[in-house]
Amino acid sequence: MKKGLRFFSTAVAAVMLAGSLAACGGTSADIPTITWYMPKAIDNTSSQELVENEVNKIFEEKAGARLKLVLIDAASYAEKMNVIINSGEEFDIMFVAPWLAATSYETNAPRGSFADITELIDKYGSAIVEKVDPRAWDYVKYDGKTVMIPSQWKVYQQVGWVFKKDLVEKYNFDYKNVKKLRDLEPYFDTLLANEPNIVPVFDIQSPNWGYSTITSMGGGNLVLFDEEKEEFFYLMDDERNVEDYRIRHEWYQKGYFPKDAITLNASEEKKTGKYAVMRDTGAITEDGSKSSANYGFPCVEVEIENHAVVSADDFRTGQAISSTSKHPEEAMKILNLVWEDPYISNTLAYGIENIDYVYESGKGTDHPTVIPKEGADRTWTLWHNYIGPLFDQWDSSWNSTEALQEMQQRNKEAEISKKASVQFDTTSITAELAALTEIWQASEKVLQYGAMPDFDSYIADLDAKCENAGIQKVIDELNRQYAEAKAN
Amino acid sequence: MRKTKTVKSSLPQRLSTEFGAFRKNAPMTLLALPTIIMIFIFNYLPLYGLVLPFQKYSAAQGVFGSPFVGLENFKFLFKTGTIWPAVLHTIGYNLMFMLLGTAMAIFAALLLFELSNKAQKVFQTSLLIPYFLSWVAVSYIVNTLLDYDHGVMNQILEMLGIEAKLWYNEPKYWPAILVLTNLWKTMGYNAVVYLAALTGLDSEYFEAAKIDGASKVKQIWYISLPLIRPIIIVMMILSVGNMLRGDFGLFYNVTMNSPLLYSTTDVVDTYVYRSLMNVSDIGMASTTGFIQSVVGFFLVLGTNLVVKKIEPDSALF
Repeated sequence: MKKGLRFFSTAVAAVMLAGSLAACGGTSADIPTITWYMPKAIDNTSSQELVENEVNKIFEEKAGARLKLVLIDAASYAEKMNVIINSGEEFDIMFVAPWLAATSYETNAPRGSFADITELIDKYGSAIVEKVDPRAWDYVKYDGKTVMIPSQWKVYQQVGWVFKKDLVEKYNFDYKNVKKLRDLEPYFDTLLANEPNIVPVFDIQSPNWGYSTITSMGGGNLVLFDEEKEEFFYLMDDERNVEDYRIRHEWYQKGYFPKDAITLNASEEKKTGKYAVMRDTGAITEDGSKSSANYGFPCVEVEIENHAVVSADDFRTGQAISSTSKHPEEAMKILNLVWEDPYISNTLAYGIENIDYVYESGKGTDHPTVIPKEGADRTWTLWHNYIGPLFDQWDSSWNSTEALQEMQQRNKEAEISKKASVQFDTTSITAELAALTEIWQASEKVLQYGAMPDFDSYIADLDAKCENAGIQKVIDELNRQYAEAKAN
Repeated sequence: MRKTKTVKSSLPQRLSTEFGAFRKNAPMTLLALPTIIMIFIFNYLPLYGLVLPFQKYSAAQGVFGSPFVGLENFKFLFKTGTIWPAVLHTIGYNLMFMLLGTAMAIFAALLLFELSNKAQKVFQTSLLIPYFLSWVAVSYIVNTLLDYDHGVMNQILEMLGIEAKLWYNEPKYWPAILVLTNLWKTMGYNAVVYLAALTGLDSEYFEAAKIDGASKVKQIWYISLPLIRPIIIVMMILSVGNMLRGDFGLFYNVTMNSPLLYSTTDVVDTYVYRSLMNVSDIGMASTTGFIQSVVGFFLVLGTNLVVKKIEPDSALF
């Protein structure tokens, strides 16, 4: 007891001391500084101050505020934002993406972490309204209030298979006519027989036959939505999926996949050139130039017929203004300027002339072509679609006007999931979704590479686990909410 | 606690004795101050977080404004029953770590104790180095041993004409691998604690024993071990409190998080990480820590109680 009291008195003194020290900090500023959280695109961001100074010349005059970018390593962005949001820290703008679950609309909109910006957009957001895909606004409202600004983005999903060029040429493989996984098997057998140092396939995406996912709610891909039948179902209740995973298991046993696939570091491994077939890197080009640049050796690629539909998540990438922001008006003004003036968005993305890029042609016009620094020389990069106005991008090795126009066209034509307009409420099934997430995390890679010792018993075991986790309750609840929403 | 009940004194009286004691020990207290402040800030201030597992927490409403939801948040842990293997693994591994770890550390300390000062420094330091490595670094060291293509183990196996093994796909080897890795990493630190205890012993005991012709083994068995017994017991009581806590760094990194190994390597912490990594639910995330702390608290109290019954002098409090 004696000891306790002594501890207590010193501790109180210490806290008081710490408190008085903290009170001394902080400087006064005439105009507010708007903080914008964003994941890093590359490690080296040494031009940050120059970029901020350049855009702040405009922001100070037109928005009456300064911008401060807070860049966080992409790998830990979600985790850090989770802490920042949940501790109620004061900040203004953040990048939101469905695959960074802690930052997502699904996680934050119901909890009120995102500010209601309906009126701010009306008042200050004219350029934003003009450029954002009008369909997107339906999916970024919560309880009828707009809570985020959707970026311009590739909303449709492609599936591409990438082939190492020297090998398809050497064995004269007609890669342009492959349609399904089985079509690749003869090629793989040839490779296994003739190329001892080549593993036939590293990672490959199966085409979608017309379902959509509920990934952002949890449960991975264990619960899917059949767009034709308009109902939720368990992944393995559709024979097409089971068949797909069975093929992968066969492939693993035959040695098409690397034996130690489960623990390989994908981002390092794919650049080794040890693999004949790999997955695409996001953008599929006729000549494989994107993949060649990404993987670091000549590749060709082919787009596989795919029936993916656009889900609500595909529109939920962009910026949100934090509900803890003290200057939401200035934040909105700044964002509107970013959307309005291509010079600002391209400066934020490419950096500073002669330091981070040089003009190739058209300097001073609306559509210049630039040459950004490449690879390890880069001193600044942010992705246009992370910032917002992707289609204002100046031409460069990153993208061409034609490619962007094609993307816009395909965005327009893309079919939107029937469940996209339904606002699901998962509060009654959180425990089940967490249990399913655990199961998916434990089985995803095993399924993807077919690395289980015995396929049938593995699937039976997975079925039993999902049933125990209450997958039927999740499916029933989602079907009920879907039917209810559609009936109204 | 019992003392304050029996000795009743008025508050001013008590305060004045408190103050007297404080003044007398002021220099010592000052020395301990940084630690006291740290313990207060990191261990006592966050105690208010104990309400989180019972809330549907949202930052907008804060810790004091978020609605209470009873035991709702705990449901996901026990819903499916799949957590029980993880719980068993956690307890099993911790028991192994505690028993083997203590035995090996004492063994190492006894060996070190016999060395000359200089040799002692060298071996003590080299035993201690792994303790300062992060689990991530250790996981790469283990990986250079166990990698399928280039691993040292597989190269040795191939030299012996045995087929290379996919270590990260075969759960049966991992209890041994994990126990060995943990031993390697923590043994040095514990050995230093026991070595300090041994060094503090009165050398007269050993001299007397030597004159009487006691062998080294007899000296260890009848003098060293009994004399450091209180330290061993205290260390044991303290580690019992972590019985339900799986070392995430060890079980996640060293296994390369290979899902095929979960049947022998999954512990509570990795299990919960997988469940909640996509959910970002503070209430649910804090339930596990809550249970681990409460169980740990009672385990420490319980163990201490048992020790008190058997050997009152060695009990912690």
